[in-house]
Amino acid sequence: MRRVIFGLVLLLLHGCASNKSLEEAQSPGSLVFGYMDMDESPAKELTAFSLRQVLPKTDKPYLHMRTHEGVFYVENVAPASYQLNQFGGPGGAFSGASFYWFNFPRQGEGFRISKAGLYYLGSYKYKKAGSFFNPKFDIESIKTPDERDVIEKILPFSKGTKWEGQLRERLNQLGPGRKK
Amino acid sequence: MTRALSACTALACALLAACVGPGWSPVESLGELGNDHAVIVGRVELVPPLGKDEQNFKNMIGSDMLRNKLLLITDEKWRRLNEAPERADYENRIEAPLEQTFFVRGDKKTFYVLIGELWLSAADKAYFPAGLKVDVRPTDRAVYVGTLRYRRNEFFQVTKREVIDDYERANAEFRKRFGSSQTLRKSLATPVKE
Repeated sequence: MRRVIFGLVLLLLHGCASNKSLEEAQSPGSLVFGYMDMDESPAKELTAFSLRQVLPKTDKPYLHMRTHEGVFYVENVAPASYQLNQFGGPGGAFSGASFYWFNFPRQGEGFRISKAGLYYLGSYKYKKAGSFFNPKFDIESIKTPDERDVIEKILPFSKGTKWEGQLRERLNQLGPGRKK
Repeated sequence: MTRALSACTALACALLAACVGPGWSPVESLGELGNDHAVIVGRVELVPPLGKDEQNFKNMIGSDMLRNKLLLITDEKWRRLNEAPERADYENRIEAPLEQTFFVRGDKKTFYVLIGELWLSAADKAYFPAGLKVDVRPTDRAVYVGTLRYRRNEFFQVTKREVIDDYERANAEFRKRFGSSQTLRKSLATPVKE
């Protein structure tokens, strides 16, 4: 019985790890990443984040990102224009909802990928706004974690891929991090 | 819960649509005008035009006033709207059908276009800067304000706002609708000087 449970745990861990692990880089794909602090959100953690391709138009515009400890990231993103689409996570133990979704407005900032590479979208914090009857949220830009911190969180999931080399090179460019 | 919130948002929008009143009424004949009223004639264009899939009003009651229309929020006095309009602001709105000439009943008073609002869904709106003044005189019966053309990028951000003089086309449509007994006076909207 113990062996079966151990096997199941291993299987689950492997499932989680592989879900977070980057696939090999394919030209001309880019690695896009950022961070969302969910401390003030009703969701207990970030487990979902998506981008929407706005140009060129496509039948499948949504790109689901991987998440890990507040970091969101996805590899092999094709050259195009994108906007942040939606993010969310599960409610806490005493929460009224099983899952919370937050949508970004369609009139807003976006980014264009023209050349393959690493694209850091920034670090943000969820801020509650509106009221109970008209729930809204704001996103505030934050300084920490910075690009270096975010890359360090992704790095273990890039092992053995070309992304690992690119991420390490970027860390070198960024220079030494702050003392923790 | 998420579904319940969506339903609440849709309901709130439906209530808004139901509660804010009819805005400036479309005019079918000049006989509808009172002594204090004039026909306001104009047009709004979006470049590139709004795609069929860019508005989504699934399960939303009262969406006709929003579909393929830009709401031009107006007032007799100029004020800068830094936030989304309040419910009272919608009382003086022009529901401008995109890429079509509108003929609506307004007061014979100078007015300001404060902001343009385009509903993309029950919970998502895009805003268009206006800040325009339209001179209307007590002697006017019909006033042409121009074509308000907005250019946008792929992120729905307005990159350019122009007021185009397309009087010939508007006047031809005006005559076809109301006959040639009344003159359509050109009074193009001009940017507000702050």
